[in-house]
Amino acid sequence: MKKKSKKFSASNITPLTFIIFIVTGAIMLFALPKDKISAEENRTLSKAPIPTAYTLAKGGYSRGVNSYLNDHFPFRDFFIDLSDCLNGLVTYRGSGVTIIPGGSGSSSAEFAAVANDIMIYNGRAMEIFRYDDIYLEKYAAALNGLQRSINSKSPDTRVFSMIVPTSYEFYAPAKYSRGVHSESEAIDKLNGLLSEDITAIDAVTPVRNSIIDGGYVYFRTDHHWTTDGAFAGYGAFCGSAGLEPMSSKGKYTVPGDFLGTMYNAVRDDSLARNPDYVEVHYPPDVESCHGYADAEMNTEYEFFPLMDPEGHDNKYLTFLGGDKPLIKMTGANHNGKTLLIVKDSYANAMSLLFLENYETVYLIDPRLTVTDLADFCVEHDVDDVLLENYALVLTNSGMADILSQLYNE
Amino acid sequence: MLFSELTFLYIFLPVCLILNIVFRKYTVAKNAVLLVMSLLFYAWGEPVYVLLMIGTSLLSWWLGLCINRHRTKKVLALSVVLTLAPLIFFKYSGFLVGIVGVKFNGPVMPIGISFYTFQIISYLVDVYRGMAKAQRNPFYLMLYVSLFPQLIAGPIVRYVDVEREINDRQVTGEDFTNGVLRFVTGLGKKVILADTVGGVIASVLANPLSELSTLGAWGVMLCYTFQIYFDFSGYSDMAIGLGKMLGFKYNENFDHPYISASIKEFWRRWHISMSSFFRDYIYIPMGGNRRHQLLNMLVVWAATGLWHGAGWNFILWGLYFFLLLTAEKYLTKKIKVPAPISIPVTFVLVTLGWVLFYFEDMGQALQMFKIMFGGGTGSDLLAGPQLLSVIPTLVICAVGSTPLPVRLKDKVISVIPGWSRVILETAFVIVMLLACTAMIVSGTYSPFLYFRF
Repeated sequence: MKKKSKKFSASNITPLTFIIFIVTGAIMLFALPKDKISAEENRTLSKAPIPTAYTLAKGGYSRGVNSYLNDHFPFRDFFIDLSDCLNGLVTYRGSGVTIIPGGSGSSSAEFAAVANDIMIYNGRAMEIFRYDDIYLEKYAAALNGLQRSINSKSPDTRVFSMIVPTSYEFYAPAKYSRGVHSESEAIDKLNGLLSEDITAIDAVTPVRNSIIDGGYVYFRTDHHWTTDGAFAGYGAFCGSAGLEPMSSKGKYTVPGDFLGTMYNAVRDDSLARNPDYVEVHYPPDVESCHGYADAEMNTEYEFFPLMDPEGHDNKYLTFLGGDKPLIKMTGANHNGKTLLIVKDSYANAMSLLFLENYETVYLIDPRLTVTDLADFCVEHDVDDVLLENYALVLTNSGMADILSQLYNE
Repeated sequence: MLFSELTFLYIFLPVCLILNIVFRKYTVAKNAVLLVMSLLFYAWGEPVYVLLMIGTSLLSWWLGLCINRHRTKKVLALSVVLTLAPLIFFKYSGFLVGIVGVKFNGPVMPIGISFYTFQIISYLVDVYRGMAKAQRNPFYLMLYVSLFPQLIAGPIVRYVDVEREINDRQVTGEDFTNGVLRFVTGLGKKVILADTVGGVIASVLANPLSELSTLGAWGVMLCYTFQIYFDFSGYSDMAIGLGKMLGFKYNENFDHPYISASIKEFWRRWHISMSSFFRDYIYIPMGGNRRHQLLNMLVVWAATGLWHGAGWNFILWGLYFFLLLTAEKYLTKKIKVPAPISIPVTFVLVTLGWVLFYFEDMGQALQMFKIMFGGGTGSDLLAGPQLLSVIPTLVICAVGSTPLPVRLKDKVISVIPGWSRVILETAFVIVMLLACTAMIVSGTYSPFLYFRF
């Protein structure tokens, strides 16, 4: 008997295409090589989760698989670009103020995904600042606790606080930087809550003056300040600490355009058309610079504090090569004085300048390592402690919680 | 697992469809595969509560047999109470204990429990009424309860509607094509439209309501009105599409509700499977229109509200529609309102209802109402630019919530030859898959301010 031959029907084309599409996606998902980091997102990509009885029962394994697939989807960059095009079709970005809703990322300082709403205005992207008294009180309590703890063991150590304003304070339209949106108002309120034994440094005024003088103080596409902003901040510290600030020895420009964190968060064409560039104030002489895996000074390695960021999209890495748990720098001013900076990444751009006034400068990033700061000060004979963070730490409790882990009362 | 996750689209779905095709001639094997896949689908998100669902299914299988054997109201009532018990415990215990003033958060609610509990009740009642045969095979009843296309977000599928397909189903090329088209349409509604508008709503409402102006408040609620429709109906579209691909024909769950000329019509078009459940299993058995109709309506609408969530706002939301329907019932006898007026009026009334639905805090709901009715003193500082940015999306949503796109599609298909239609449909599927994948992938794009290499 002859077998009946089946005719291919046109109605099968659409289903076949659908199946081929999703099966191909699945095959590529497993077959293609996986990246470990995403330079645009400044983060390591998820690792394949290992199932355990606990993670299987609690759903941790399925969540891990979901994030692994999300992070390693084939042609992820192409799809992200495609979604930008689609967003352009279904949404409108005018020439005035545009506000991009923040992501669902964590707002804690330790894993600070861009979770705040972002404003694009006049070719500049800025995190929208909005403070709350509760967070001011928490941050002040953490700083006061640190100061008490440090001075209980090291009474002569001076403690300074610097909250660095962001570009939002100066470049957002006036009506957006008033009241709860005013960084300077929040900083003033915070300073009013600090102990008398903490010297509050006013970084707002010198930064504003630098802007008025026409300086390139903030990046347009990144959330940091530039070398000029950092220089103004350094000057403000010296003024408060009774030190003579160094005079500028000139600047050099790092080759290549720079599209920073804010651009990566909003991927707006108007920002891409006018990229930033990174300049560096020539620092004082550096005699040594070592990084450590933690504040106990394990796993020492030497590095050059002003790296050549060629091959890196993130040109802000020029300064110290990015955040590290602990850095120790020594300079040519052999006055025996030691400064400890407990900092976020804003300090990276100004840290080398302090070698003009201190023989040794330690930088601790409390997001990356935990230690008892009072003990550290005693052990390393610290004269001055600068507690530095950018203004957005006043919009949530993340950094206050982290700082609270640095002392015992 | 959610349909809009890459894990579902690119791992679960291809495996499920291929196995379904491989075993297409063997009903038993096909059902076994579908049952295992459905349990896996549920266990992916609810690894422990899948046991509850399995237990509830087995219990309902046994109860179905008991009802079939005894067919008394007592047995039916006991069966319904037993079926409702897990739902009451997991969904309402915290709320009920809270009413008497004891602070108790209650257990975490298993996903989809409201949907599958109602499905089981419909099965038990239909067996009692003789409309459905009691299922002898416990695994087949478990398959009905756990079928993954409608498990998480409906529609509420009645056993009688899928009884025949569980025992014997065939998928034609046309069914599969229609299923694929329906699925990608629903996926697009969810990830391109609903999620875009939803991002703005979440951002705007994260700030104090006092910052909203009256116009801003209406803007936000308009966004939510479209978000909830495109999210929910998108999910139903995906469920119906997946059902078709697997050989099940689910009834429609939405029929362009925002073109309704009355609240009554709205509820004939919105979440049809739920409203018809309440009609057939509560309203009519209580006496329907024949006796104490108002009381029946009151009970049904309070229950409708409560079904959506364990909170006073949901009960008030249900009662709000009870009041509207009651008023409409008496007013429409006296006044005939032309459609150009009644459609926008209905739309506005439904939008106002979503305020109660969205805000679980009654203080916030009242504040929102106050702002919407002229009490807004805010300047929309942050809301204004964001609401303006989604105007194109809202226009697409407004047009998309009418029958116009479907009519246009039917018109185009009727005038073009067969092969052109195939090419057009295939291109649509590819474009939608690319677009939706892009939107899902971009949702996972999470740039960090600090360097965490």
